[in-house]
Amino acid sequence: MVAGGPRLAMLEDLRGRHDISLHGVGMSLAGAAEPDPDHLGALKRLVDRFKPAFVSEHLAWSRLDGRCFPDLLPVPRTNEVLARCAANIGRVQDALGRQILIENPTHYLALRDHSWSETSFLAELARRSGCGLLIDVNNVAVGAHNLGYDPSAWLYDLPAERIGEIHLAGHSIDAEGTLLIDSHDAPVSEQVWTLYEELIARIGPRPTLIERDGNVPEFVELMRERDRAQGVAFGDIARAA
Amino acid sequence: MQPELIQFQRDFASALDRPAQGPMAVYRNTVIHGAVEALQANYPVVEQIIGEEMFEHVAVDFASTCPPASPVLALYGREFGDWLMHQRWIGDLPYLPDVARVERLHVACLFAPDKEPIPREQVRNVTPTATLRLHPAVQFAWLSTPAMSIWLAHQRPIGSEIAPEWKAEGALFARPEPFVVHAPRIGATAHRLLAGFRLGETVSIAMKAAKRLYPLEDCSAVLASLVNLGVFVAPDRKRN
Repeated sequence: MVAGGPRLAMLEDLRGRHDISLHGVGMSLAGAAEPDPDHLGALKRLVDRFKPAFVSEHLAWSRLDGRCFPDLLPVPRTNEVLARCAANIGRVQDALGRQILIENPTHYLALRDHSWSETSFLAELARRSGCGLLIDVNNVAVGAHNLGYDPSAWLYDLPAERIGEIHLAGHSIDAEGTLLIDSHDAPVSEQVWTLYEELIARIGPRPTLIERDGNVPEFVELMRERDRAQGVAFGDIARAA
Repeated sequence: MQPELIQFQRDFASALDRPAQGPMAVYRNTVIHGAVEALQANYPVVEQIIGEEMFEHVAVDFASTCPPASPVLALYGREFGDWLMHQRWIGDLPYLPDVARVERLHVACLFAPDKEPIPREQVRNVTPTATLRLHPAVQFAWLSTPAMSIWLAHQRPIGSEIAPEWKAEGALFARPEPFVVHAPRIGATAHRLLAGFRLGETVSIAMKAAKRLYPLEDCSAVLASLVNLGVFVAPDRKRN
């Protein structure tokens, strides 16, 4: 999202060898305001230049009254929010000239005033806006622990045909030992691997990203997790071992 | 208008600005640490000078006064140098705001648009009435402290004691290629030339002004060194 320099040059090099998936955190799609035109313009330049296989964003807000919050903040799932989100996603898709995928957020706080379940909200959002879904299985496990719901049932409720990409990650527990935190600083948990296997068994393989941005281990450890995901997705038990 | 949603967002944002426990503390910590980590990434020498613990306190203070206004955190903290100058404790470290300004020049240079610099052989054809346009990644400043010398000393892999001469100096950052950054300390002549070119002066006007101000300097050699650093893009012929 910058104009030039080494990061874009590295991305250019990667794009020459691989398909890429652009994953955004700053579009504030669930906020009352329309997408910031400067930010959307920068994303469009990036998309036009690198022609990624997927472009994704979050069901969250991060911008208000000229201030940006470096986080993915929650909203009550009301009709008003559904209409606003669908309109904002529509604006982004129109500007980019392509479909985007929307990721389910992590939950820490039980908000009142939801009038939709999360899975039906996501399905309706996809139906109205034409967006696809990016399902972060770790977010499901973390939210299910923190708010007390069944993660398997949550995943089972999703419309399979809308899911375009999957994220896996590790989590940690907060200082009080009560809340799980989507910290991306640990290996993918066995619970998340199990949920991933269940999801893939139902919907088939999907491009999968393992997010790790803290306590990054030796590269070989990351490759073992990559191989395990590959094994789950394509039924290759030898690789998953 | 989204009256209920915007009211929800404003209430949530106010709650983020107050100390919290439980779930709200998770959001509050993420928001604060997002800004602190971005500032750490952009001001590593300031952090080395004052230490990690103090930097974190300073960054939290800064972020509460100047929270991010853009989601692109790679460019966060533009006002940090000026803000530092107004901190009560800065009297003990009078060079620190300038070191922060140098780090800002570096960040701005790194993420500016890419462009081909003017080839050296083309420079010979530049007429006195031509203007030399600065490369979009060029950043420079004149500093009243030896902050560029301090910054340069912190780029060495092994730290050592430094005793820079306490005088004003210039800082220049140029990035002729995506992965090539030149970061020299510059003198007043180079700074005068760069400032003139930034204003759109022709080669002859900028050179005359520099020679008048600094008659003992070899202004042609200074200009040649700037060309070698990749400071200019292809020239425009001045239209009459």
